[in-house]
Amino acid sequence: MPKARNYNGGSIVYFQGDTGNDVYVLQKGRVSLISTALESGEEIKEEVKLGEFFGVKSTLGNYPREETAQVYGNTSVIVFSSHEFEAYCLKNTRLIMTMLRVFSKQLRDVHRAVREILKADVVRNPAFELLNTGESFYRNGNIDHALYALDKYLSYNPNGRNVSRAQELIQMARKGMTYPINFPPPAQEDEPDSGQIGRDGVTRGLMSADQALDDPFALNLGPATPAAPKAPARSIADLFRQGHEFVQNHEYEKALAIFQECIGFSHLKNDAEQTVFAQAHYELGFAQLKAGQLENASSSFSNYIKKFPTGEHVKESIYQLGVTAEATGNKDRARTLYHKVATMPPPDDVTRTARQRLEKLG
Amino acid sequence: MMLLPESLFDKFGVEFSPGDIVFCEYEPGNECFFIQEGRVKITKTVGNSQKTLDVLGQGDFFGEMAILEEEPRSASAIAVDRIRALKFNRANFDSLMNTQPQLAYRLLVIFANRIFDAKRRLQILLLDDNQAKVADVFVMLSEKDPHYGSATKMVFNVTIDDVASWCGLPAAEVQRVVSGFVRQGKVELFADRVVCNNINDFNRIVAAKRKNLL
Repeated sequence: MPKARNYNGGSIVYFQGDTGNDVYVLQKGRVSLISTALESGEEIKEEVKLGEFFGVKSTLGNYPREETAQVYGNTSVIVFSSHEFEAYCLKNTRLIMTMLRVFSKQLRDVHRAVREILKADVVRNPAFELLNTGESFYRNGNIDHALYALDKYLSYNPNGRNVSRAQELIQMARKGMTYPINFPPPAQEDEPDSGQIGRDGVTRGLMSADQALDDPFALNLGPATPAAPKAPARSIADLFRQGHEFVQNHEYEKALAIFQECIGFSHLKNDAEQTVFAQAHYELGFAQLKAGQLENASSSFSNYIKKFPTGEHVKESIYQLGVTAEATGNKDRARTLYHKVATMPPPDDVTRTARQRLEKLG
Repeated sequence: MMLLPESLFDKFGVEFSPGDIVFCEYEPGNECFFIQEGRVKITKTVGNSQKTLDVLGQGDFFGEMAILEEEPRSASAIAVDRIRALKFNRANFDSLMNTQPQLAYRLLVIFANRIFDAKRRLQILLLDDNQAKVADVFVMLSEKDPHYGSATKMVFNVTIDDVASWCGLPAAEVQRVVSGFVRQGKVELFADRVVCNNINDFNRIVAAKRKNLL
């Protein structure tokens, strides 16, 4: 049974940092909850209203009290043990719903503050990241999950910039092919203009389910958009894609000029751009090799290995160094390099090709 | 273990086979799930791989943030076993809460914990010093450890990337700070875990910085 308890003025019901398993209701008198604002460090004082519960959250979550409950004047409270409180709640669904709403708002506020600090997280584009998640599943061999995510990407972003890419990947995955080596990175999706819409507006607006079903980037076309949008500077991902197209059309001179431009980028916005940046270093070497610029190719591959020692293309770079060495007639060096590749885990296509080259060299 | 009445299954029931994906990170979503039977793993893309954050079982809720926050999924949910779950959307959520108060109560407890965890993370982020931020991640992890308060040597099954994402710093910077701790003998670093030789060292680092802040 919940018990009534009386306090004299100046008493403390509990201190910040205490552990306790009771919940209180103010029945008569005055109680203030004194806490410290996380962000400003200021003291916050909040009066408990008559009939209001306090000490709820820390009791429910079983963590230390976040505030000190101080009594002013003669005061009575009713004390519920956590079990009594639960039983009481179960009979008063409206109380739970009210608290759920309060908690939900508090959670939203804390999340907002966290997002403010981690500004980088906010600019993540959900369409791009959804595609990226699908590709990550694919790379790790989770074909079903990859198909699911890529399919979701297509259904939520019918006009996205990576639609054909997603379709291509879906086809390959359905045929049971592994994730393609040297596949160019995806294009950046159109970003909402964070300068015009509040940070929170961007995230919430963009991500609301209704919006996404309709047009996930509707916000981008809001009335605040200037009449004549200036052509945006080309992103590294766009450049890279163009370079890759040149490679596919065997226009290596043009490709290597583009990759040169890519590796000159100095302001990379996110991890995706970092990845493209690294890949461009490798592709530059590849284009140079194909264009017959053996010396340049050799230094590009070495440069890749030096700059990205844990990068995705280290093994391939060593292999290509071998190819370059072989092309310049340095068979011993080529043999050493192929041998190194052949013994590098995991055994894959590169391993096989290196072994074949080794056998040929004898 | 609280389960919901089976009668609800006719209306809200969904089933998944082992390995099925329930929802995917960054997918828009406005449904939440309550597990009646089976286990679900919650995973997130970290770099090029998938990292398991949690495994949930019978009586657990997942995807509930979507009901209240209207944000895309922050992680993927994948069935580990055969799953029988109840699926709710915003429209039927309120009436469900009213008819199933024990479920509403359970959600309240989940929220209380979420708020605490989010505030704790905010405290870390608000520190004005990278060394203190990393130290505070260790303190936060120690607070969650069942041996908190009784042991000084603590083992955390986390990687540099995990620590980096908690304190909002680039992995390279966290690596630099942790290497400093390693040189001072405060930390031993392994591929899959971090050993803090004396968690009080980190409490002191954080306390000194917090005091300066106020």
